[in-house]
Amino acid sequence: MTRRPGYALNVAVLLLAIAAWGTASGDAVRAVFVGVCVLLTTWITGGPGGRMPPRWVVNVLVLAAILDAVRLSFGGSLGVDEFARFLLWVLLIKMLDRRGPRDEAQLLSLSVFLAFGAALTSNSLATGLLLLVMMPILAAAVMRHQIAAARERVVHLRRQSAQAGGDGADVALVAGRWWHRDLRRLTAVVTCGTLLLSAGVFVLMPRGLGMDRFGRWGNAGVGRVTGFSSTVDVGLGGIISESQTPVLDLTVHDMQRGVRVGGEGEVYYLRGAALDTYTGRAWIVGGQAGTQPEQGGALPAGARSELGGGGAERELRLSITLRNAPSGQSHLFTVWRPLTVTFLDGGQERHNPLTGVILREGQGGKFRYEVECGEPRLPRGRFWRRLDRPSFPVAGVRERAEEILREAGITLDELGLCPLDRMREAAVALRTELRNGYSYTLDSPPAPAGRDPIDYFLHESRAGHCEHFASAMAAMCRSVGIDARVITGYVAVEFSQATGHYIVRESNAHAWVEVEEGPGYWRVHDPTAPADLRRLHAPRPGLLARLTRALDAVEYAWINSFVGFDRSARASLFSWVRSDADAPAREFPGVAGDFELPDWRWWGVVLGNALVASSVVLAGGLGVVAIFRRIRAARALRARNRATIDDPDVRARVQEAVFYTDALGLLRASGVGKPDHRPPELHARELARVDLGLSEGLQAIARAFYIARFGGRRLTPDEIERAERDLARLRDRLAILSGSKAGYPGSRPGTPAS
Amino acid sequence: MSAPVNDAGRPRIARRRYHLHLPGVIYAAVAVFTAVGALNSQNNLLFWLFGVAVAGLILSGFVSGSALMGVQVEREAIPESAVGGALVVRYRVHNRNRFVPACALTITESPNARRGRPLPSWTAYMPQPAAFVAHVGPRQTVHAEAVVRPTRRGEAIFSRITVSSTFPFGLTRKSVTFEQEQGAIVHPRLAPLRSGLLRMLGPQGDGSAAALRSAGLGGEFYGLREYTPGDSHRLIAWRASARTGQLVVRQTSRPAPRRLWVVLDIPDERPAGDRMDAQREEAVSLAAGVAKAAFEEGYAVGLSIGEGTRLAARSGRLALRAILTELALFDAPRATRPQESGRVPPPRRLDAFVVISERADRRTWTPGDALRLSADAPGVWSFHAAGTLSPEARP
Repeated sequence: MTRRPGYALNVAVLLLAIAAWGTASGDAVRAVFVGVCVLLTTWITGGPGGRMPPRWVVNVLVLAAILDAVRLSFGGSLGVDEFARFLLWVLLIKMLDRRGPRDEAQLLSLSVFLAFGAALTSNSLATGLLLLVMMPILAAAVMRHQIAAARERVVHLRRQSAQAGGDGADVALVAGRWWHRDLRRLTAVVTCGTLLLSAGVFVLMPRGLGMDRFGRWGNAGVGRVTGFSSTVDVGLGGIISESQTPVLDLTVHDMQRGVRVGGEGEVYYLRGAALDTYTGRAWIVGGQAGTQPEQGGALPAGARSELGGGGAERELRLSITLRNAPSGQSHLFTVWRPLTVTFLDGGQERHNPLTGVILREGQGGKFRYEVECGEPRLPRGRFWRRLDRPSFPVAGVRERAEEILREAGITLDELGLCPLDRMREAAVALRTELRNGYSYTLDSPPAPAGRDPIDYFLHESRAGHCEHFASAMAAMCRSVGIDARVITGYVAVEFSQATGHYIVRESNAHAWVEVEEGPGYWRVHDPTAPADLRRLHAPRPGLLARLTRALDAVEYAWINSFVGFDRSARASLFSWVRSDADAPAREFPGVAGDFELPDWRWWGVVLGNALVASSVVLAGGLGVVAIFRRIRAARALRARNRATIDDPDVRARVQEAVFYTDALGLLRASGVGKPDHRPPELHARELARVDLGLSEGLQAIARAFYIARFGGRRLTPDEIERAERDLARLRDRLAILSGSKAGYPGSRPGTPAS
Repeated sequence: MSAPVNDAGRPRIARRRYHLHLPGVIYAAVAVFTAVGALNSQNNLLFWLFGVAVAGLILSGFVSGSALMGVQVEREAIPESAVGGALVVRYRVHNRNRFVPACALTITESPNARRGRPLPSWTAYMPQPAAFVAHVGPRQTVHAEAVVRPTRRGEAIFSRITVSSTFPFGLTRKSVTFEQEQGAIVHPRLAPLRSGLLRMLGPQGDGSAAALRSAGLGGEFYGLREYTPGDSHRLIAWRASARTGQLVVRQTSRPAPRRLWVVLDIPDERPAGDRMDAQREEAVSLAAGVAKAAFEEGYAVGLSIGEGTRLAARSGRLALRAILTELALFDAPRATRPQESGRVPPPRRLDAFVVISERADRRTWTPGDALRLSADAPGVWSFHAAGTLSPEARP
């Protein structure tokens, strides 16, 4: 089996599209499987002695895949991911059916659609890079495919003509010199041109226009799984993500000193959700969150929202960039306790003053915000707390908590009241016991059926991960009357000295506890042993880890410059166009999709600039064309001069042969002129197709001309006279022919020569 | 008068066209879909992909336009061919562009038309000739050829060459049509004859008893003539010179081949109906086959068609070509100069005749000795000796 041109390129495009989708969707196993299958089928169907299944088998398989997709769509679950998987199956099936250029074109089309699926799923650096690499290879593959398709078209025509009695022979590949080199150069030019033009379109396309008009499809952030979860299901066993995918970038400013802070060993707990209700198996949001309605509303870009905070002093300002925020409602991450929040990209903001939880609602993708926060102040004076709250519903937990407190010598109950400082000591005692008496593992077994998972952790397994520790401490605190809640979020531990910011990854997801040690005074307690925390969250050593961190820095730049290219970035890029400083705010005011017509004055400026720019480009282009034409004309003139006859004798003889130039002029005027490259004798023979009289006349004149030009002697008067007679006959013949309405006898049937 | 070539003698460009086809429509739809998705989701990767789609569209137009603008196609002289044989149409493709190569070119012949009116064309004679050129580099020239098998005799007129390409991305099909008028003679199919069939006509060829003689370089005495400067002295007939008083030289004879007349006994007008037309074509094919076989047997062959056309009996390849051309064109619209029949010498006594008719019962022309063939029963022949009718036999 002979391979068609561009066969290897097509396979490369397929593999890159599959890799891009696999990277975007995170379904690496499926991507690897399909990639291996593609290679195998390439070898099976395209290798030496390759065979393909009958076409009906392929059609049946494709039909089955389509029916499965239809079934999914009726079930309402045919999203981008499912559609991409459908494409993968069709691609695999189609790999078994590579019979001609049409099949290769279908495979290339499937690759393109898969690449679109990848772009719709994720806008990560890896996906972008793979698409970028795929682009020139795709261009080269498509160009080679066009050659194969044109050849196939001619083969098809010849087969048709073979059925009609024609020659169905194979079509030879007619190509000039260095055609592979020419195609490579053309690919390079097309790639560079595509990059330039696409960059222009990328910058010029308006942002913020028509957002969410067609629902929330196409959002690369939808459905992304991160380590953070707004519920803690203790009964599930080990579910902590170990993914190294960066989630957010954090920069910490000390507001009092006015400097950027942070460094290795300096840990920040970024709280997301506050879980205060235990369902018997999981901690969920409820209770406290429901006691006070959430506040907030639309927050334009750059606007600040006050979150309350009980008079805490502003100490830190956190600048956070969520790399791939999900679309819709999601948690924002802050350090306890948040006082204000500023949305740099705008959106709907909601917060709960009691729990300090901030939610945002808006478009997915990159999202930037700033939070100011401070340490809550402990109320002055001595407070007691009534211990009449219902105890934690699991009896074994209270027993264990009391046992720990007894061992620590702490008595909480004094006539039904407990001093608040005693509660802090109790919380610390419980935390210490958990840190010292329990071991950390990511491989914790789930609790047996019917057994409370916290009770099981405290009394039997005595090993678990951060969610178990946090759940156990919150449960024990609440069982003895101390108010506590489980907090989920991230710990920021990985500080990049190069960029001066923290990189937080999915694996940095963590759970800890906040304990109310005074009225509205909640303190952070992390029952996970600090050593375990460092071990788990510290940056990984080794060359690979360093390389990963370097790539993270690149991805940070990608997120900030490419993914984060938004209205404001675009506006700042075109700031030289604007006449006033507040124009960006008027550009497309509808952050959530409300479109208003922009200022006509601004459009006028834009159009004016565009007109000037195009005029300059057009004038430059015309100038280049004019110069090019002049150069070409000068070269042609030089070539003509070179073609003149140097020998004066020969030149004199040729000048005598006026009949020849007259004959050429007559023929040219009659539309049967001699091409420059064709010798006169050959043209005379060619004219026999048109008219034999013309042919014979020109042949006689050409012979006389040859004598004058190459014969080494002057024409005799008789020869000149004879040539003149031939010229007259030629003129007459042309006159007769031109008098015929139908044209030459040789050019039109039904008009016999006179 | 038409002007099929421009001032430089090259085929004139009749028109350029862009044809939007399905892949282009799909591409545009996907690009629009991408733009909508990008605006809806504000996903910058989609914005970039939309930019790539737009760039592809622009570059496709630029590359294909500049490549095809520089392509020059010229059809070379078309050799004669026969029905059922291979007709090779060769094209000279030159790329005048200095930088952009022309790739994936499909060269086809278009039906002739002028201002929307169809003109007599090649379409009745053969399937569409199509040639393929993978690449013509800047300032390069390549040659491509289309091979077709003509299905009908006559003169096929080619006038419009269309070069099309979907290169580089297949979004649109661009085409340039050149005007260059040319004719191609399609000879009739050469019907195979049973070997030795012409021997029915008696002795033939050089040196036979029935051969005619003419002055030449043979060994047998033919006659005397006056001496002309340049004659060999050894040829001077001294005795006769002495008798006549002027120098005379001996002329020797050379054997002339026997002459055979192919008589196509069919009506001048084409009959109505496909079957009759097929029989007529079969008769013409038989005549061509007989003429070729006769030439191979050494006959000088003449042609007579109906009441009008007659070609003098001659031998040689040119004579065969003239007969085949006449058979190709005798009832077709005439495009080449007709043979003048006034100078054709009449048949002689020893000439042989092969009479070919459409139907066996047609007897409009009956010479003395003739081999009769008919198109309705091509396997059956009969030989008519002078005044007698031989029994029919099957070859």
